[in-house]
Amino acid sequence: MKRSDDDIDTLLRDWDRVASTATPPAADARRSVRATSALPMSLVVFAAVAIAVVAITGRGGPGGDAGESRSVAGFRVHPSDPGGGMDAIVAGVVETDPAAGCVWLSDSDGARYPLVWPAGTGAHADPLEIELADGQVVRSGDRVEGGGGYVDAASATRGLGLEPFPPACVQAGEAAVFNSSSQITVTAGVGLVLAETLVDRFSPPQPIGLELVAVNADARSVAIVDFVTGTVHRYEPGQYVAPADVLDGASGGGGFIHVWANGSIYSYPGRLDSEPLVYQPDPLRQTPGIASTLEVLPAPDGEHTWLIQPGDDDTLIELVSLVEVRVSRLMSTAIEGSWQPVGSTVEGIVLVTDGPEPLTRLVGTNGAIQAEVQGAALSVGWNGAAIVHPDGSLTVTDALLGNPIRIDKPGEGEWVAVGGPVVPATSPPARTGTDRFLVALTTDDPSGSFFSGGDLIVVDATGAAAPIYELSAGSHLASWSRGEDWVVVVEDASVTLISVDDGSPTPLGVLVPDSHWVLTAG
Amino acid sequence: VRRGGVRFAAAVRDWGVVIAVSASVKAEERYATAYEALWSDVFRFALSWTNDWAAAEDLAQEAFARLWREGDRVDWADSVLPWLIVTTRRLAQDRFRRLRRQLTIGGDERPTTLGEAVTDRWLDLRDAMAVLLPLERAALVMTAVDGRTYEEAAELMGTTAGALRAAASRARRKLEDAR
Repeated sequence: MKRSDDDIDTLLRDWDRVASTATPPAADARRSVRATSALPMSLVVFAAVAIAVVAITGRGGPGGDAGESRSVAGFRVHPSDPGGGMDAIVAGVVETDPAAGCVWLSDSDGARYPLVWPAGTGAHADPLEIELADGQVVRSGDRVEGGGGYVDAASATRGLGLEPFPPACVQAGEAAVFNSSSQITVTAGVGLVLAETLVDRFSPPQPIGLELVAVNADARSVAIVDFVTGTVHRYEPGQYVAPADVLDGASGGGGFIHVWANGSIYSYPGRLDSEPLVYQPDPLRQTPGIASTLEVLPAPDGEHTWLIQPGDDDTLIELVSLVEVRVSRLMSTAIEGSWQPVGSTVEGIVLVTDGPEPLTRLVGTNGAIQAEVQGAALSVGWNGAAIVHPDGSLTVTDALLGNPIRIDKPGEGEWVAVGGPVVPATSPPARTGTDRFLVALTTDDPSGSFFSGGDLIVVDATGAAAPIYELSAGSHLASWSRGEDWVVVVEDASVTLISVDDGSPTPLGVLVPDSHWVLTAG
Repeated sequence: VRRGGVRFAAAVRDWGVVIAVSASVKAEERYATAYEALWSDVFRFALSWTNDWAAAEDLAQEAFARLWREGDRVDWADSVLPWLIVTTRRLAQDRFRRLRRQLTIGGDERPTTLGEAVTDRWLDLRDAMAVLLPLERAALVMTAVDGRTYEEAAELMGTTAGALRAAASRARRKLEDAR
């Protein structure tokens, strides 16, 4: 038997009654809270004397101001330089928590290790900076690499006669220890203050496999927001093999970052500063003086890429393989009419026409048209698509656009897409989940090019639809994390992560420079 | 050293440093006022989020401890309740992460600070509310129990009214079906 509304109200009234019996631990507990922070005046006097002694004896790290070094509670440095050490490479991105005084090395899996720095390293608080013995300054977000190893955190400090790390700084049980005389290679981050963005604002249960790619097309500058390492890096021409022309688009996910310009595609394996594959569609459709119509969409497996060139009369489609960082052409075909790609399923590429009677078509990996249905695909996942029909209804299909299931609206409004770049361009849409789709309900005119606000809805293959976030008017982009446990929303340049478990949003603020536009997430 | 009218002195102990705060009377008073006025709100939110009486007490205390430690960085011009609620939520999420890592599933112990007369009723309520996710419980408690509008609750929690409305709606459906 179901509970009635009255039953639920009674339950909640009881909850209220019981919760109201709680009383604050009042004076005792409050005093105990203060006791952990406020020190008796005798200790303050001792402190002042101790500071003076340190200042006079100069026992701080040679690389930095002694008093300031020690104001960073989690900063540890080799007390002396006996030489030698461990044989491993210690490398990662420096993250900090200024409030807790923690300085971590964040590895590529997102695990954070408190650090023991080489002898002679100093630290400055506010803003938190590390000064190496050779004068290099390390800031949050910078990448460091040197000789050393990873050891149990307690043993690391005990063995060197150092104060243990504050418990809040020990997250993985181990510490990263540079050798006492190790030279450190520092690669600067983009200068965005990561310590005040990802570290303070976002600590997911697990690292999020997701990247945002933002570009300044004219300057050919690309910013990558990497949620695994919690870093934002900006690459200027000269720091990566950049196309010579204004960037036309970018897409990511599946291990490659693709940037294209004037018909040429640059596919970077993993990092943008790696050597890219440079290639063009064959044939390349290009009218002199007119920008290429090329669109590049990664396939779900991350090893194949679709190249699409819409034209007035037909659309050229090519499928290439990037296996072993080598291009091999698998299929080339032309289909009648002008079609825009929306996404790719495991069965092929999904395209739409934007005529008065929109159609959605699937072109298979063999070049054949596998399916065509009425309506426009709003969101494409690996195992299906969400398609809005001329009567306004929404269905989800399988990867071959078959077996449609009707979706009931969870609220008022018209179905619209939320994927796509935050600029009104024809770049590829954001990647969506494998069997769940991100769409929106807007209560304003859905035919306008400007999204006027509404609910972000997760639609799944069973027909369920649940609002998870209220999108504001303006630019928008949404995409799944690779684990499908988070959704990232970009409104203007502000980034918000939404937990799919409980719907709670984590606003991260503006993570990319004003001059850059977020184009894709994957 | 003077910063914002609050005097700081530093105490050194080996490689660690403790910041000793000689707080002004004003800071002490505003903290005490906030503690008296808002502890219950923070506890109720923590209880709704965790569904665990002892954890909620711990979280409320920890949130106020942070308010005390970081008081000079908090904007006291407006209510500090949103700051406390968001801090509590983050602390709760940290706590869940730790619990998950340790593979300890608690919740069976009887609250030691709760009167015997209401303990059994609380355990029943806890079981009934256990079908809900933290956000769903919090949405329901902050609106249906505490009488806030969705907009007010959303502002407190740093979320959107739409997310809370959806969560409260899901919560009611789940409670209906869970009997």
